[in-house]
Amino acid sequence: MEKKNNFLMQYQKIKQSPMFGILVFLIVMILIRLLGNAGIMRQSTIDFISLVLIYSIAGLGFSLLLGYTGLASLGTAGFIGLGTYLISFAFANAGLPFVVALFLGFIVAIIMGTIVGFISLRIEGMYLAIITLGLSEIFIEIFKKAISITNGQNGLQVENFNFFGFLEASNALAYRNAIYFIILFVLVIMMVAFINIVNSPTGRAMLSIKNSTSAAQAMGISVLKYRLLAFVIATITAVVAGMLYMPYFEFTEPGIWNLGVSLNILAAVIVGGSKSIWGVTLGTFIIFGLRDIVLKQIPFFQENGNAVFFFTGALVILIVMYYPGGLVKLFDSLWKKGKVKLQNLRRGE
Amino acid sequence: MATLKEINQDIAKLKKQLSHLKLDVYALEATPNQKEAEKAQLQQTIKQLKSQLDDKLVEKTSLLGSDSSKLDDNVILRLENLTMKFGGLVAVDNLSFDVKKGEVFGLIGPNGAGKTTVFNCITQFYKATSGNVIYRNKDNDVVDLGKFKVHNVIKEGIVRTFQNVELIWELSILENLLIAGHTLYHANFFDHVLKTRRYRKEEKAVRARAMKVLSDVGLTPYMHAYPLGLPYGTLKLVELARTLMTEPKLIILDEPAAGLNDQETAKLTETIRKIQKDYDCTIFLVEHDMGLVMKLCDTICAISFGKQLAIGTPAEIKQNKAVQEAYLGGE
Repeated sequence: MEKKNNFLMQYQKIKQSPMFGILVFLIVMILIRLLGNAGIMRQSTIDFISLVLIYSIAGLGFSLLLGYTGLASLGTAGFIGLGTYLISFAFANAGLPFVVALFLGFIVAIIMGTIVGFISLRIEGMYLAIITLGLSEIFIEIFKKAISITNGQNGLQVENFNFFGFLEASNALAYRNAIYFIILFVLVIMMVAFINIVNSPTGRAMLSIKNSTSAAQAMGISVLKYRLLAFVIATITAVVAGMLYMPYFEFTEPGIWNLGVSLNILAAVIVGGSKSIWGVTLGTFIIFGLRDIVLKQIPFFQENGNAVFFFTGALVILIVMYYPGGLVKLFDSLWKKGKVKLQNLRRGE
Repeated sequence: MATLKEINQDIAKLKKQLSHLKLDVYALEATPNQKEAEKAQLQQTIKQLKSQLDDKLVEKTSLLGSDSSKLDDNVILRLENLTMKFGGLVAVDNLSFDVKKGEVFGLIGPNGAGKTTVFNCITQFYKATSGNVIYRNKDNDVVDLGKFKVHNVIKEGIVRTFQNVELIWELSILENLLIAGHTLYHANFFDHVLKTRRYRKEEKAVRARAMKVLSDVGLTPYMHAYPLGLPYGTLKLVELARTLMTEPKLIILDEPAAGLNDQETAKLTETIRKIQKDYDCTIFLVEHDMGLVMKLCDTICAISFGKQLAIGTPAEIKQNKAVQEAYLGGE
């Protein structure tokens, strides 16, 4: 009897931990892929979910930047694009293994993040966003012009990726699975890291910089250090997202990585809630899902693809006006209200 | 004979050891009536290390010579001809005074006299146009604050509050205090990401410290509350509590009583006195509430348009003609 109670208590304790949610998420996502393998789920749905997972990786890094350090950036797409070309180059031209390519991406991201971080010390708010947008446009221009590596406007198709021995040519299904699970693995690691960071002195230091720079400095927090850190993390996640995008979709062109993607990631983080991993994932799902699942069924949006932005924009405005904490906050308060109502009902009986 | 570099290395090493031990003390203090022997032993080690540090510092000063002799033994902070200009405007004009160890020092003056600018120059938010800020730090070492970056000033044992409450609104009161304890942590970013044992141990110790400070100033009931919506007096108290996290030697308070009612002010006066006694620190404040200043301060310096009018005990300042003129206008 006592043992059972003990077990129940353990279960309650585990349920409280944020890691429990991540574990459930992981299991659900693995199941989805297995359902896909069994032919119950359509491949296009799984492709869409993979895209959401990839953008969630970039979104998590971005939410550290926006939600915690209070810095806006519109350069995310450029960095994701950079990641796609980097891994293509590493595989196709240089023939490097995946881990080495990843390492290369880290180095490039750290350099880029540091540069933008230094800029952020001088310029803040809207102007910083414009600078990062400019940087992103520079990247796109480079993608267009460096034809020998990027194949320019025509886009780049690379199919001979090698993931720990998984090759598409030899076994397409195994390759697809391997990529999917690597994406999932990276996202889960990113989620755990995110939770650990925001609950640590680093996360608190970032929040204090967002709230009051002078108080942060008086408490011994170096603004330079944490802004650089935030930018470096955001850049690394964006580049890694790009490096995972390319092996999955196997095609990249400069036109994809325009302002639209950056804005969508910004919208996803705001709509979902920038201070929670579920907020970011949910926001990404809604913003990209809105386009790929719901609106593409309607003929008007099939003809005018860019009209989706109306919806995204309206959603962002509504959320910012009525639920600044994002949809996660909304669900949270609904959940709590429901609980209270349920308790009242029980008491009434 | 050891070179200066070696001595500096030794000093840094000793300081690091000491700060690690301090965290252990905080962790132990959280469990009262237990592990008394362990506590006593820790104190013993700390004492030893401190005396070692003192020796090293003496060695350093003997090598460098003049630096320490700049400051008398009982002086903690000295402004030397401090001047701060913003373009053509001279906010602080050739100001010099000493703040003695263990006193409550008040800086008063009419609006726009440059009081907050003086604070900002001391804490390096502004770099003074000319003049020096000499300070006797935690380890009894005499340093020139002008050489420090703004976020390193707290490590020397100076903490400040702000005229407008500058709290982190998105964090609870307890977490606000943890922010103030930021310099107590040694764990780096990777420790945080991986949640290593080293970091968890530190986190526990700093939390224990924060709880102690909260109970000292009577804020324990608000521990998990968020600052938004709390009474102004409580927020001011949180700011005050925040300064205590790092065991500072000099606390700089920028208008602690602004916006408080008489009752709250009276309570604040008591709290400041208590803090000064319990935490063995010097308090340097700017305040408009003359009642509080006269009651609390041991020494008062009056300034107007950045220039010093008078310095002395509260009674002397009250009698001073120049001060009266500045406040009430000439005849």
